[in-house]
This record gives sequence, C-alpha cells and structure tokens, in this order.
Amino acid sequence: MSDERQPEGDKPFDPYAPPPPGQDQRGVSGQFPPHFERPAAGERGVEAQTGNGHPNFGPPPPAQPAGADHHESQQAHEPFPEPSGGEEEWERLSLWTIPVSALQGLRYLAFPLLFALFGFGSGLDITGLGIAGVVVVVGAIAVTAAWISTRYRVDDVQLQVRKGLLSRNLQTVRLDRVRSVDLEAGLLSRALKVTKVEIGTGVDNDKITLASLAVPKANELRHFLLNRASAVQSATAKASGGAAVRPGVFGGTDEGTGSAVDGFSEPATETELARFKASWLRFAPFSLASLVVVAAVGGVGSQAFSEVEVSIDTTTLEQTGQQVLEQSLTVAIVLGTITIIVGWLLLSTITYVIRWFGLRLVRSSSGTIRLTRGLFTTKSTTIEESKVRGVVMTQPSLLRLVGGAELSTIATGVGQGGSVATLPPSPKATVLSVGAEVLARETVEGQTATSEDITALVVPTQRHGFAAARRLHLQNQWFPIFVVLPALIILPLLPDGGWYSPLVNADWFFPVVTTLLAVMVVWLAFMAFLGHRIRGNALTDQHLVSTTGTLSIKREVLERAGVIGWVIHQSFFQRRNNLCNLVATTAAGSEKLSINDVPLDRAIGLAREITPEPFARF
Amino acid sequence: MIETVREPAFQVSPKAKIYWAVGDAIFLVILIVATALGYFLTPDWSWKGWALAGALTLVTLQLVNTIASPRIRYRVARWEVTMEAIYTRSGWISRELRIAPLSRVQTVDSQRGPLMRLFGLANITVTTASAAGPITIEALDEDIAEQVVADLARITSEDEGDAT
Repeated sequence: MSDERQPEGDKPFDPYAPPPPGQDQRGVSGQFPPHFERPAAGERGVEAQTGNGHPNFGPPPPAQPAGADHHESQQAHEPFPEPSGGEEEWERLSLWTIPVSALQGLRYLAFPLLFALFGFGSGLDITGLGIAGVVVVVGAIAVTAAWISTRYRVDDVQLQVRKGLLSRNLQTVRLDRVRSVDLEAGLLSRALKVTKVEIGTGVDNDKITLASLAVPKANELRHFLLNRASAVQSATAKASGGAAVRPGVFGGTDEGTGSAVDGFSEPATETELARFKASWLRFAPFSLASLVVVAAVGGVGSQAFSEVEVSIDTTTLEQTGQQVLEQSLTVAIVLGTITIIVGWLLLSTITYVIRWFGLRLVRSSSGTIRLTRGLFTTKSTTIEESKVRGVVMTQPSLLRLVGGAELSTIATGVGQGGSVATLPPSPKATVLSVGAEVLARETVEGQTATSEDITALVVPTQRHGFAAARRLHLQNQWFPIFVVLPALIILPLLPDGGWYSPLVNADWFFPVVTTLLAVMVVWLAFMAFLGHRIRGNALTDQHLVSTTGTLSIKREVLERAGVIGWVIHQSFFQRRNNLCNLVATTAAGSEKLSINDVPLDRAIGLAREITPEPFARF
Repeated sequence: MIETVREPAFQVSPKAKIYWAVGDAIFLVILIVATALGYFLTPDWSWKGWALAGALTLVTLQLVNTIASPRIRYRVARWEVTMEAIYTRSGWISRELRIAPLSRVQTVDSQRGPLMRLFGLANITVTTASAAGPITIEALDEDIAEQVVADLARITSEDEGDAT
C-alpha cells in the first residue's frame, strides 16, 4: 500500500480541497476555507482540555495520535501514517440550523402557543401575547445557543462532537466504528440546502446527530466517514501498514463520483439496484396499516352520518312509513362503504408516495449501499456493505394475495431495531431481485457472489416434521381443549343458583357455544396447518434461511458470518419429541434468528455447518 | 446421519446443590410465612378458600422444587471453555445449550451474591454483541471461576476486530 499516495480529494471542483501534499497543514490557518471558522488558538486549547482531557493541545508527538488515550485497542489499528496533529479544527454546523430547529421547536410549541394567544376562546389578550412572546424569545435563544455550542471535528482517527453551553458534552467515535450515515432533510432544510446527519456506530443504538450541515459538506462527511471506516478495516484485516490517507479537510468529493480513500485509487462506481416506480403504487392500498387508520376514521364518520340519518328518519317515519327508512339505510350503507374505500385508496396512496417517492437504492464500489427516499422529507441512509448481515422479506396477507412483498435489510450499527426498510410494498419479483442484490457481495473466501448465486430468497425451506406439526396443532388448540371444553362439561354439573345459572339454563347457550367451539377448532386447525406448511429452514452457501407465518409470510435471511452464537432450548415436551428451539444470535437486526420446533439433529447440524470452529471439539 | 453434540466436559461445583437448595428453601419459607399471614390476619371473604388453595399449591410446588431440582440441576449443569468456544448446558425441566465462539466474546464478568459468597461460589457471564446470546456458567468454585475469567480475558483479548 502506498503511503505517499495523494489524497483523492484534490479534484479541481472540490472547494474543500486539501493543501498540496508535503505542505504541512499544522497551524497554517490560512489553508482553510473561510467558512471552516478556526477558533482562536487559546480558546481551542481550553475547550479541548475540558473536552477530552488532552493535556497538550499543540500538535501532539507523532507517536501518539489524538485519541490514542481513550481506547486501549488503538494499538490494533496502528497503521496511520501520520498523527492528526494540526487538523484539530472544530467546525460549526450550518447557520441555517437556527431556522430549521426553530421551525421544529415551533411544531412542538404550536398548541401551547395558540392556547396562550387565544386563551379559552376569549381572543387575543395582552397576557397571552406576553407569554407567547417570552416563549418565542426563550426558544430563539435556546436554538441559537445550540448552534453556537455545537461543534464537531474529524481527523484520521476519530469524530468528535461537542455540545452544550453550560454542561459540556463530548462524544467521540473512532472512525473504524462508523457503520452507517443517515442524511435527513425536511422541506425547509431542502430549501436551505442543509441536511441533518446521523452517524450510527458499532453496537450502540444511539446515533450521533449533527443537526444541520450544508448538503455538499454533509455528503463529503458521509463519504469520508464511510470510506475511512472501510479503509481502516481493510488495513487491519490485511495487517499491512499505511492504508490511511489523511482526509485533507475531508478527502471527500461530490456524491456519486466517489473517492477511494483506502489506498486503491480507482474511483468508486455506482450501480443502481432499485428505483421508485409509479406502478408500485398499485400495492399501496394493500397495506393493513393504512386500512386500520381509514377504518377508524370511516367508523367515526359513518357513525355521525348514520345518526343524522336516523334522526331524520324518525320524523319522516310516521308520514311515509317503512319504505323510506329502508331506502335511506341502504343509501347510507352504500355511501359509507364508498367513502371508506375511496378514503382508504387515497390515504394509503398518499402516505406511500410521501414515504417512498424517489426511492433509489445504490451500491457504490467503495463498499457502501445507499438508500434515498421521501417526497417532502428526504432521507438517505448509507450502510457499510460489510455490515449488512441479511434481509427480511415479508408478505402481509393482503399484499401476498396480490403478489406483493416488502423488503428490509438487517445490518449492525444502523440504530434502533437494526434494520432498514428497503423496499415498500412492491412486486415480489422486484423484492426477490433487489434482495439478492443486497445480499450479493464479496464472500469471506474473496470470491464475489453475484446476485444469481444468491438463492436464499427463493430456496425452498425444509419443514420440521410430523412431531413439530402435532405440537403446533396442540399449542393452537390449547384454549378450546383445556378451557372451553372443560367449562362446557363442568358448568352443568355445578349446583344451580350461581352467577352462571341464567347463562347455562338459557336455551341458546349450548347450541351457540358448541357451534362457536367447532368454528374455533376448525379455524385454529387451519392456522396450524398453514403454520406448519410455511414454517421451515434452509441453509445456502452463504445464508441461514427461516420462514414463518400463516396467512402472511416472513422469510428471514441471515448471513452465515453474521452468526455469533447459538442457543438450543428444549422444553419438557420438546425433549420427548426430540425437537428444540434454535436461536442463532447476531449483532444485527433483532439480534437473533429463531427457528422453533426444529428437530434436534437438524438444529445441531445447522449450527455445526455454519460455525464449525467452536463445534470442532464437541 | 444423526447429528449430535457431546455434553460439556465439566460439572459445576458440588456445593451448588446445597446453594440452590438453600436458595429455594429461603423462598419456600417466605411463601409459607406469607400464606400464613394472609390466612390468619385477614378477615373472612368470599374467595378466601380458593385463595388458600392457590397459595398452598404454590407452596407444594416450591417444596417439590426445593427437594427435587438441586440434584437434577446439578446433573444437567455442565460447562466447558476451549480455545475456540464457550459451551454450557443448564436447566431442570427444560434444557438449554448455549455456545459462542470466543472470537465473538465482548465482555467477561463474574458475579457473587451474598449467599454465593457464603458457599464460595461465583457465576461467570460472557456476553456477545447480541442481547440474545449471553452465556452464564452458574455456581463455580471461586478459585476455578477466577482462573476461567483470567483465561477468557487472555484468549479474547488476543482477537482483533469488533466481534460483530
């Protein structure tokens, strides 16, 4: 690896281009573009001392890069060509942060403010106006203070974010722990050309947030962070020194052209894996989430509507009789149904468009996958490809009926939940091909698996056998067998006169309850039948696959290399049937993949095959 | 071919039986006292008979648990640490095997409760990057536990990477 390679960043158009190599940046404030406001030296020193306790804030001695004092495994990542001495530039957020966060604050304050202004419907008064004024002023001060006090800096080793005016708060992340970078911009942010940056790290669920950065700057930061992270990792993996290249200010370039900071100076190329298609909109109404919303709204609406109808009816009833009542009822029902359907179509389509419009899934040859989407608020999530551990394909019942599916990607370090919704309800064929593309990447052996090699999303899964099916049926019938049936037998035997007597003695009781019981038993048996038919597991060259579901289907695919442990649990009854619950633990997604009621020897076989090393001696 | 996995090599401390029995017995006494207090100190109410029956069932179950479980738990509980993996078996009515490659281990802790200290026992818990995967070796002799923690710390620190 060539230590002396020039930073990829000096492209002609790059406004943040680093100084020519060989010219030391340390302490040459003139090198920095004017907007990288460089605080006075003295101030910096003080801040840094309160921050990370670095005793000496001049350029530290070469042997001790900044940040070496805060992590003991620093030594493992030694090959940094230079200490990051002179680049301790604390940078500010974009000035536009102030209006953007002010607007956000206003959203929370809107109700209290309106309340203060208009009181209990008494109109404007002086006190209300005064309170509102104070709230606005305090808010403005708080927002400005947040902007003033928030600063960040990046060097070869770490990203630091400093927040807080009164209480100082310093977050430090080593660059090789950076896993994902999200950019998110609402309408105002987009108009002002700024974006929020969220940085996901290691195993922490918390992300580091930079409220607003100018878009080009944010892109650069993202580019640098992620390329840098993979560079450090490949350097560590190959255990050969000098992979890192100083970032200049950032070694970044514009989004799309990319830069190989990792020592291999080929420019990154991008492959588009998926793009929003208007035809996908036909799947929007088949998402149950929006159905629930519409049903609730429609329910309330129709209730009000029918009440109006009925009140009219009672007055007209005496005059024109039964016919009118029936007609108006029919009209009400038809109108109500139409309203609900139209509302459902509209609402589900609108939310779908707002959330997913402009979706673009891109793989960059620098080793990242980027997802961009959103109509008003645009959101871009960039994940380091090597941290992608699998995908989940779900087919909710309605969607499945019309041949649609959804896709999410599971990865480490993407924040809460560990998964990224990747495709909206869309054609199953699209989900299959995009899912395969997401899974396809360089394997451990150094071969590249193309998407055609990935069978995990289509491979038939192996069912769990007769004992598992019987167990599923018994589990499903637990309530009717052990609660309803005994109650039916015991209730008539109990002495007369208890609270249950009127119920038991009613004519309808036994016919109704036995019918309900029969329906329930048949339904549960059907569910168990489906559950067994769909439940299964499979192992491909690269992935462990599990399918579950009844009316809906979920297929979870976990990369073999993502498995970091096993739990094999057997309950008393499972032991008698030689079944077990197999849990593959992982750092990504929900942190586990469970395969329930799988035959014990199959479970052990899977575990052995996937992680032969720990099983070698057992 | 039927895939099997052999059991872990080592049993936990023989003192574990007494320790578990004492723990269960303490809980049993608490249950009995609570039942008695509830029965004698509250006035009669309509469901009191049922409540008493329920409480006595709990007491009986815990009595059985106290008598039967320590011996069975001791027979089931086994552990082994190799250069590559940590492997445990535990349970009483149910069984659980847990295995993790040492390359994925993130932290190694040992815990001693007051009762455990009385018997000179310690638990070792090994965590990985998954919340679903902590592995606990219960009730080891203190000196063995110390040795195992030291070994684990040494082996796992030799690994690079972030164990995810």
